[in-house]
Amino acid sequence: MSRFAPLALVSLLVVGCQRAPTEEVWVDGETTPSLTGTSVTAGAPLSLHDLRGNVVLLAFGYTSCTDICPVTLGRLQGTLRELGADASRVTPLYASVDPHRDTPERFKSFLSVFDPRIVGLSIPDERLPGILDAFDVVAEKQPPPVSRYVAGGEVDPEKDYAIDHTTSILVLDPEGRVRIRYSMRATPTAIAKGVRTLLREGAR
Amino acid sequence: MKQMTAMLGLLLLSGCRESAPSPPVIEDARVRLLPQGSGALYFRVTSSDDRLVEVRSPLCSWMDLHETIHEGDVARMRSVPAFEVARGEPLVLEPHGKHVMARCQEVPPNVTTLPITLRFDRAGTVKTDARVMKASEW
Repeated sequence: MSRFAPLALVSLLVVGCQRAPTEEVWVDGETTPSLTGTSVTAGAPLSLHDLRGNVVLLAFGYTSCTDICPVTLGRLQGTLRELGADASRVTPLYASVDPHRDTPERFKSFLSVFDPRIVGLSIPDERLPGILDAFDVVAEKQPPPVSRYVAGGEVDPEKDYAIDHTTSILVLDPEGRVRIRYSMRATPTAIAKGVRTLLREGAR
Repeated sequence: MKQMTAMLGLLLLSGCRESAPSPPVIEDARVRLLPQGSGALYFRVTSSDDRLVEVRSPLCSWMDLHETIHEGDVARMRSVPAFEVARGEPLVLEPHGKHVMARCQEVPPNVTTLPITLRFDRAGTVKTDARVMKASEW
């Protein structure tokens, strides 16, 4: 062993302990979690099983999320653009973790400013904890903000809360297995590359 | 010698006198407005030492200073009482970090700017206009 080994090891440890998540993580792909809800786009039941044969891009969020979710959807759009013709074999799914506020009407209105290929998915309240668990995704409702400026009305605890949530984009292969998790730093180009790898796998 | 003492005295005096804060400069003010009235406002502030304590707009019923904190791959949005600005160090509000969360249901469709007023502890109020961003812009 070279005498630089201890130094190299320490450097590796220091780098490895960074708090920012790795941009792209390939997971073991053993799990095929089920996910059933209502497609807000089609107004009909939709399950992941129905989407087998396509690569699925899955993101979780809510329509009152103004700082993170619109950017995630922008990245989903960007990924579809990068994929070009291959996008026809990909289903981008945006699942709401906020069944209380995200009525079909509100959800459709929110999605109207994004690429129409993005499918909105409503999950019933009682099924949400199990689904979050199955996908290893966090969604934790928080108390309403203490507002620095309020005009006229008040901050409404029923309407004005935030939900802490996982920002990753999950990629499922055509067999419904979770294969890749992309952090919010991953670019549309990187995500498209991962998607293409999964599409090519199936072609073997 | 007397002249030197006088000059030294003047120098010391000017150093001790608290200079009035120069007006804060607000740049790149932009706001993301979603169809149902929720919004996120971003901008950059350059100023002397100060604290931004409030932002308001005639078209918004409330505005709250927020910071998105990242814990692994989980985003947590937290209300904060104020944003500090230090002389020589711009305060930057940008997607996925510090921002102003807002509920703005009175904004007419197709509007391109949102008038905003920022209030600082020392510098007082500063008015500007925020450009309305595309929803997915970052």
